[in-house]
Amino acid sequence: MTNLHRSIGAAAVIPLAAVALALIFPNQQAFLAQIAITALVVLSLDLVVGFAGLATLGHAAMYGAGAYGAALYALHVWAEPLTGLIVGGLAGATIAFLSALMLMRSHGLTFLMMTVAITQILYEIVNKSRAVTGGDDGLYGIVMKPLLGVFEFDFYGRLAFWYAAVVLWLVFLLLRHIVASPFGLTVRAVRDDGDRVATLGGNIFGHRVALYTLSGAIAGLAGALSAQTVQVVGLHSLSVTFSADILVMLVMGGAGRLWGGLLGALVFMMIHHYAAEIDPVRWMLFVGAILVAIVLFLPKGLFGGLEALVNRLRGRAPA
Amino acid sequence: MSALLETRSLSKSFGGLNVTNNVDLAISSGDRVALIGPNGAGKTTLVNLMSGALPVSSGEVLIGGDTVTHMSQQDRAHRGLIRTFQITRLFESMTVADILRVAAVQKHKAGLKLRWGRARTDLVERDVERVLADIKMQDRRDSPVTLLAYGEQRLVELGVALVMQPRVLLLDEPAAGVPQSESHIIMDAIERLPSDLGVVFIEHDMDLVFRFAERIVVLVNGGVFATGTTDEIAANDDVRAIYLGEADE
Repeated sequence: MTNLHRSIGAAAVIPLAAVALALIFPNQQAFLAQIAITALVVLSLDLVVGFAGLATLGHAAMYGAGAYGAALYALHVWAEPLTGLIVGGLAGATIAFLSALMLMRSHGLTFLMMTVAITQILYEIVNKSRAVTGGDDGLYGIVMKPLLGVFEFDFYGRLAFWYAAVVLWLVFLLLRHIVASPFGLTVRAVRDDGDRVATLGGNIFGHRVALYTLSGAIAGLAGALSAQTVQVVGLHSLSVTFSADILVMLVMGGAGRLWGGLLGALVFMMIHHYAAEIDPVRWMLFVGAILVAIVLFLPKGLFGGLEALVNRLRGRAPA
Repeated sequence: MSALLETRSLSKSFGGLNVTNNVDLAISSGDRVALIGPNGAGKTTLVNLMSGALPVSSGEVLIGGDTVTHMSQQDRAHRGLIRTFQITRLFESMTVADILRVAAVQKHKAGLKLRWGRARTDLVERDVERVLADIKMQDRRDSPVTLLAYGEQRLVELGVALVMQPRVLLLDEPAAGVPQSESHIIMDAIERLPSDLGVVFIEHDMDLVFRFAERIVVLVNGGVFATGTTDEIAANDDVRAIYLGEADE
């Protein structure tokens, strides 16, 4: 298989999966939209955790900023979806850039604690600013104009799903390009040994800030999609709990690979959906047990395991 | 012409311990200087001070006549000062070619670029191919670096520095940990270094020192104990007593 074939194949996976999911779950499009949005935010988290090697529990700060940004824009300025999407991305990027200026001077546990602290501060600011953000009631009554002036958002979430899936697809293609670029290569080198890159003249701080900002912009897009399609934004979108959830999804799927983020979000959301239906109280136990199993038996996550399996079936040594 | 790399009264202390003591050194184009001395003499510390990995306590470091004492490692790298490490520090998730590519991307200041583009690809790939040929590892280009023998990894470590086409190269025990049977590969590569490059290398193996060095600097307790040509150092009784005698144990 040539590289070209490989890229075309990879580019086709998300559209094909979207069509398949829409056919298999015809009455659950709102749920599928949630999966696509979650996959987008997990993808953005993978940039920070997987590609830059920075463990964070504060990714919700950017997702929430995008959600609130897009919601406020729709409520007070213009309810047009695509400009709202851009506003959400900018909100996420802004929060990411400002916090990165502080965060990227720290490492390890200090970094982790700072991400939590920044998210908590943002959470409290939004919580206390009732007049603007609705406090713990959140923002509701978000009614979007038709997408591209033509497609109406429907009650069943059909448009929501295709809208979210297309954004996810485009971002995925963009990230595939970026990961393979000089920037992407350098980011991985900085993860492996930042100091070594500095001795070669690379600017570690600059790379980390740029990457975090990019990741924040994508998380912001995901937040905006959520605000526009669910039509409600709550404090949960800014919480450390949500940050931990998406980290779990990423680890399940396999950090450091774009596919891992997608797969993790899909599997986690499916388990969540069905396990919560069976046992609304104890469903987290299922997730916990599965996570333990994955960490023990598939250290590279579901995608890493899948890849090893395929390689074995093809009789090749693992890469 | 000013020296490529110079230190003036360079000193470093950790608490009350002086690990580098008033070191004056000047490296010119084409120099091959061996830095020797017993364990704990401060050889690696001196390299760290020159490369900017450690802040100095007092004294100066100059590159091409300009003071760089308070400049970061990355700025010194851009001025043509490149070092290698005693313990191999390569990007463990990568293949040989990608590791060299990382270095080439930094050399061409393309680390923040989101596109390769034909011109940049050409520049980077030319550097990668040049070095793969230099270190004779064309057939290993796609090997994950962690699967290479240690001697080969040391060669890649040297290759990373060669990509940068430095003016001064600081080699911290380039053959450390390499089995005797493989060390000639490293030495051959060092022998082929561009003749105008200034090279400072730390080495314990006296055969290698006398084979490559034109000048030897003996460090003892952080200070320059003796300096001279290989013949002078070989004939220096004090050095023999303090250093070479110990090495023979």
